[in-house]
Formats: sequence, structure tokens, C-alpha cells
Amino acid sequence: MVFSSEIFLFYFLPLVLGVYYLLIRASNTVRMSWLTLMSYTFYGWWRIDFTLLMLISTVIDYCCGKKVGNPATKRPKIWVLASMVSNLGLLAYFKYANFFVENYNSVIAPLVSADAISDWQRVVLPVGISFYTFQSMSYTIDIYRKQAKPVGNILELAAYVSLFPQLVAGPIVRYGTVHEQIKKRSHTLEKLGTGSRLFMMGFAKKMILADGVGIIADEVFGRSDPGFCQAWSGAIAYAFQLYYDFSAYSDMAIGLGLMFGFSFPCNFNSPYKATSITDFWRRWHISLSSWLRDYLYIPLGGSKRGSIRTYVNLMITMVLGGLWHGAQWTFIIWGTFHGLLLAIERIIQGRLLGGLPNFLRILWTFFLVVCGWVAFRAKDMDGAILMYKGMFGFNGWGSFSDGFWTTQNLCLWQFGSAIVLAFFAKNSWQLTHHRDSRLVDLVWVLPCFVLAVLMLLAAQHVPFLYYQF
Amino acid sequence: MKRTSFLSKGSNFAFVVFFAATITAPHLFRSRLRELFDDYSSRPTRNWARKPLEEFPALPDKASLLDGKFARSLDDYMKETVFSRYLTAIGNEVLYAGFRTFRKPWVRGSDGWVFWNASLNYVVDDYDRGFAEARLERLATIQELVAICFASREVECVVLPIPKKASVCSEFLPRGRAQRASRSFEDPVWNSILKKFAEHDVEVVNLRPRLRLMIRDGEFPFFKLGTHMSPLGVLESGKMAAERIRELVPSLSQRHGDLAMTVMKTRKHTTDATYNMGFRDSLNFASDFKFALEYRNFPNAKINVPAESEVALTGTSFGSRFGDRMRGKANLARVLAWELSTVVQDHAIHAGGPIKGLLQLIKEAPDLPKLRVVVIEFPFRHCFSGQWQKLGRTLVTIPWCRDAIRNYLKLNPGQAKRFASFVPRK
Repeated sequence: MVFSSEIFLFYFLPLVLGVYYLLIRASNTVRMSWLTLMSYTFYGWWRIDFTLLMLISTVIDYCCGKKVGNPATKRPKIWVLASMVSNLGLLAYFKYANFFVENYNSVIAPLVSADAISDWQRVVLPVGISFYTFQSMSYTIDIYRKQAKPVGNILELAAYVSLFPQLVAGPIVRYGTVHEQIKKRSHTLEKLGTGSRLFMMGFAKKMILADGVGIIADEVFGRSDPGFCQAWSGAIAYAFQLYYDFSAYSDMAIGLGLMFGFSFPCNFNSPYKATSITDFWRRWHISLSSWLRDYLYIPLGGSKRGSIRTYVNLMITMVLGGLWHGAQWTFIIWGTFHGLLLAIERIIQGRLLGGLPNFLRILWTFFLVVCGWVAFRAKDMDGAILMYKGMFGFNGWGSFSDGFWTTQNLCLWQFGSAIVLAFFAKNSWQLTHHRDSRLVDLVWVLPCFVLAVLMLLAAQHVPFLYYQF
Repeated sequence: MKRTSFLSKGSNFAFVVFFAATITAPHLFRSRLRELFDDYSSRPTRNWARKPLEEFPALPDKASLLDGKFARSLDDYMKETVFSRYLTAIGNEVLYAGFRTFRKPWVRGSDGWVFWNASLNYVVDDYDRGFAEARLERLATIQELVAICFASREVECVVLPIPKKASVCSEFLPRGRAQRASRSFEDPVWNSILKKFAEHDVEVVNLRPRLRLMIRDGEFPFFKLGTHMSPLGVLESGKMAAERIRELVPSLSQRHGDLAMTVMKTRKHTTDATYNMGFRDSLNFASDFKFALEYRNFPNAKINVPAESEVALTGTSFGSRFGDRMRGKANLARVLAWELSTVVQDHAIHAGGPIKGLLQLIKEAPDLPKLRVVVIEFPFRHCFSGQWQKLGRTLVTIPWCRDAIRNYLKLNPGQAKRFASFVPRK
């Protein structure tokens, strides 16, 4: 089930919210049971058998967490390791087995007969597995680090892992952040109001901006020889599609969380206003970048073991971050590209761009980010190379006179709005959470939400991009 | 506790109420919405893909099928069941009002081909098979009735079902849609139409195999950037119809010779995309579309002289002169006139649905003293569409059709008796 579908918006959400608030006077266990049941329904809507996978992961982490949190356990590290191996094992099999086998086959193909190459049945990737395995892992690790206590019963952990607002596409909420809220949280009109506003904003962003801009990106990335103008338009369109799509999901997830009394952390902070790549990673998918920082980069040594080791750590973190997004060489290239950019920024320490006005630094950062997104979006390396050729003038200038560009007036309107809002407007978190947010800044949400609902009904929904990761 | 909002209580309350109302309103107001919007929007909607027919009480008996009761009861059921169709209509209206376009009314296939999105949703699938079967039965019955009536005046009827572009040009469907479409438009479905007509002794010309061959030979029977047949497709269809007519009516066997076509360079008639697919008039076609739009013109052939017409054509925009806007003079009536070396009366009506042209022909038939053949062009989707009704009124009922034709035929008492006792075959 996706947030931007009729079944979710008109049936699932009213049912879950309605019953939840009917149970508001009941015990937290009853409410959490209802939420967990509905979260499993939400996940099982796609494929019911994969709920079992989530359950297995939960049970393993519950057992490991108990052992790690028990002072009598002699070597808690082993149980942390067991949790990590099981979680990463599931992730490795479901997400990376296809990649490994296909690459292995392509390597050995010239060396052996065709019969020797294994007949591999592709593994289906469970939706959101990357997100909930990271969350599960944070449970045992946070207990090991004494940043949280083990759950009292398995229901609490099942609720944490499966919580449907952020189950399939984040934000990645660490156990340490919400463990107290799982046990006890408040339900106020203020939270409900902010939650509904954030949800409506996210929904409008997804339906009005992301899906519209996505048509342009799909068109250009589907062409065999995009010219300079087209290639840049397509690449920029994708940059905005991804931003609005993913940040919309985060807004909706945080909004839904608030409606159920949870406070999730901010996940996007106007990333295209970043003045450097380092700054970009402080603003983009904050829950993932901070997870990678705290659970990977810092344990590797961070920046405490000399310059060379720092650069190596950065590269490892970003390459693995790229690989987390998908089992493809294009994601590895994207991660490596960002790792290199971060390392270079550390080396020059702002000496090169430090004196430039802010808007030039923003444009330069945006240029680099868009270049990276091309590899991220392309189906394969050949596709990425085709786009890069177009972007750097190898396919000529191109033009906007063909049928696509002259007919997609709605998409172009959406594209223009997306650019203006990303660079010049406040983001949804600022609009809802800042002290200076005013009613007049938020009223636009209402007609936009209605328009988005109508757009949903007038066209097939497009699944969120981050579901595939 | 950290604050999440700095708005007043009243503002927060208003937002919550608005949100709750928007996600529950469809349930509360569906009866009102139902009154506001007509069933059959001419705009693309998802209605057809969303009809849950599994729970529809029962398939109709023959009688209700013929007098429109079934259609009405089905529509009532839909109004009760599928509320979102009304919201869909509102959504489309708003988008159209605001932007003069719908969100992606068409889908791009490979090699520059474009397909009308809604047309791909005309799916003959498990959930609407009963519905489709009922429509088809009704259509074939009416055609049988028409054929019998005309036969009593020694006028032959030939039905020309037009296959869907998606079924003829399926190689070019976008990935993802191709599988679904091939399931929907595959041969068994097409053949079920032919079979149904055959069961009712209605003469049918099967155009699909030859149009498929054209695709295989690299020719385009349909516009790449449109929903209708290209001049080449019209030419081929007309030739096939003429072949069958010559067999049925040997006196119409003479022909002028091979039909030569001249290639025109004008852009005016390149495609029906501008008016039928929501493209802007000033569309400057992309290079990948250009070669598909090679425009060809037919020589003038004599049409629309009632006193001399031996052949009458009814149908929709595939055969109508309105099609001149997209095909110049390359229309079906002219091809038939050329191939049969006679005058053809064109009663096909653009946007008239499958019945309007037929009704007009029946009305005007007394003015066609030399009439020998009626060609009924009939697009695939209308075999299953709801165009039997308009604004709640059944357009054509069997009794109406019977009376209209009887008036035209001026039957002798024996014929009239036989005609009045006509019972559709089981």
C-alpha cells in the first residue's frame, strides 16, 4: 500500500486513525497492538508472505536485545554481532544476491561452458527491507551502547519495527529516539494539527510536483540521444522529482507519526540550498546520513585517525551508502562520486570556493549533485554515459521544439514551480515547526491538498521512488 | 515537551477538521456526487477499469438485455458501488479547467508511437466479461435485425469492425502496458466478436489480420500520433470491404483500377492528435513522428449523391467525412466508391457512437432508391462501451429499431407479419 493511493487515503487511514482515537482511553498496549496489526496489514497488502520476514527479523532482534541488555550476559558483543549478521544476511540475500550472481556469471561466462553458469531465479526484493533492517539493527546497537533499554515485551519491538508511517521508506527512526515514546506519549490537538498539515503538504508535493516533474525525467532518460538542453532538463527534473518525492514521503511519515503521538526527526532541510556537498549531506535524507555517520563512519574511526584514514572512511561510508540504495553499479558509482567530493572538500577546506557568494556556491553544489543523480537514476552504466554525453555537449544542443516539450504544458508548469519552491521557499519543517510560522503561510496547504486528491483520482498513482530502495 | 506547532488551538482544530473531512467526504457525499455527474464522461477516466462486477446480481435474461433494463440496472449498480468515478470526473474537470489538459492522457510507446491512455483501459477482463458479453449480444442482435430488414429489400449489410490500434500495433505499446493490453485485445477477444456476429448471421469483414500484416511490412495502418486509422489503413480496410461486397453483389464488381495515391506535404492533415488527444494546435511534430505521418491523398470519387447511391456507409469517425480533417479525402466512403465504381452515401458520424449513423441511415434510407449495400463501420471499443445510453435514456431499443426500419421498408403484409414476429435467436 502506498500513501498516495485511494485505498490508503480513503479507507485505510480513516479506519486506523478512527479506531486509534476510539482507543485513546485504553491502555498503551491496546493502542500499540492496533497500530502493529494495522502496520502488518499495511505491509502485507503488497505481499503477505514478506510480513513473515519482518516478523523473523523482529524476533531475532528481540532475543539478541534481551541478551545484550542483560547485565549477566558475559559477551554481549556476540549477540550484537548475531543481530547484525542476521539483519545484514537478510538484506544481503534479498537485495544483493541477484547483483552478485549476475556479476559472477558475467565474469566467468568467457571462461566456462554455458552449462556451468548457474540458472539463477531472481530474488524478489521485499519493499522497505533496507529501512527496517537498519532500524532493527539500531535496536541492538543502541542497547549495547547503553543509549536505550531493551523493550519490555516483543509487541513494543514489533510496533517499532513495523510502524507503518515510516516502515517502507523512512525516515530511519533509531530505537534510541523513540523507545520512550513507544511506552508513553501524548496525544494533543497541536500534534494532530501539525501532523495533518505535514501529511497534506507531503501529499500535495508528491501529487502536484513530484509526479509531474517525473514525466519530464522519464521522457529524457528514455531517449537514446538527448541533446544538451534536453539532457540537462531531464537531469534537473529528476533531481527535483527525487527531492519532492522522497521529502513528500518523509513529510507524510512524520505527519502520520505526529497524529499517532510520535515525534520523528526531520529528514530533509532544503538540501538544494546547500553550499557544499558536506552541507548537502547534512540536509539530504538526514536520518540515513546520520545513521551511516553514527553506526559506520564513527566506528570505522571517523576523522580521529589521521587524514588518509579519514578519506578512506569517507569513501567506505559513501560507497556502502550508495550500495544501500540498490544493488547496481550505478549506485556504487554515485556513492563513490559523493565520497570523492566529500574527501576533496575536506582537502581544500573551502579554500577554492570559500570566497564566492552564497548563490554561486549553491549553484555549484547543485551542479555536482545533479551530475551524481544521473548515475543514480540511469538504468545501467550505458544509460548514464548516454546522459552524460548529452549533458556535456556530445549530442549537440538539442531543442525543445518536439512533440513532448510543446505539449507538456502542465509538466512544465510543475517543473517551474518545483524549482522556485526548492530554492526560494521555506521547507515544510520550517513552515510547521518554527516559532515564526504563521497561519497565512499555511493556508495554501488546504487547496493544494484538495487539488492533489483530485489529481490522484484523475490519474493512476505513481509509487514512491524510495520504495525501490 | 517540545512544541510542534505555534498556531492557535482554533487553527489547529480547523486543519484537523479539514483533513478529516477530505479523507472521509467521499463516503459521506457520494449520493450528492452521483447526482452531479453523468455516467459516461467523454473525458478519459478510470471508470472502465474499476467496475467491480463480481457482485452484480446476475447476468440478464434475453428480454432485459434487449429492452435496456439490463443496462439500466447495471448503471444503477455502478452508481451505488463505485463512488470514486464521480470524484474522478471532478478531478478531470478541475484539471481540464485549469490547464486545458489532463495528466498524461496518452502514453508513449516505442518508436514514437502514442496510445490513448483511456483506450487501453477498455479491458475485456474477468471482471467485466459478463458486461461485455451482454453488450455484444445486444449489438449483434440489433445488427441481425437491421440485416434482416434490409435483406427484405434485397439490400446486403456488411459489418466492418475496426480493431483497436493497440491490438494491431501491439509491438509498439509501452512496456508494462503491453502485457495487459495483449491480454485484453488478443485474438480470442477479437474472434469472440466475429463469432458473435456469425452466430447472428451478420456478414463481417475481419480486418485485423491484414492490418497486422501491414505492420509487419513496415506500413502504418494507424496514425502513430493519434487514435484513428491512417489513410493507408483506411485504404486497406476499404479494399477488403469492397472485395466482400463484390462477392455478395456481383453487379458491383467493376472497379476503376488500382487506386493511386499522391503523397502530400501538408501538415494540416497529419494526424488526429490535435483534436483527439489533447495536443496543442501549433504542435510541431518531432522528427521521430514525421515519417509516420506520410500523408497520402486519394483521387476524387463520387460520394453523397442520394439518388445515385448504391452503397451506404454508416459508422463513426473512422468512416466519417469529419475524418477529412485528419485524412483529407482519404476516407472510407471514397475508397468504397472508387473500388466499387459506384456512388457511396456517407452516413458515418464523427463522435456519434456506433448507433447515431445507423439511425440516420434508417431515417434517410427512403431517399436512396438504388441502395444495394449497407456498410456498417464499427470500432472495437464500441462493442463494449456504454454508448447505447445517453443521459439515462436508452438510445436504441429493439422495438424502436424494428419500427423505424419497418416504416422505411413499407413491407407487404407477409413481410410485415414475419418482421413483427422476429425473435432474436437464442
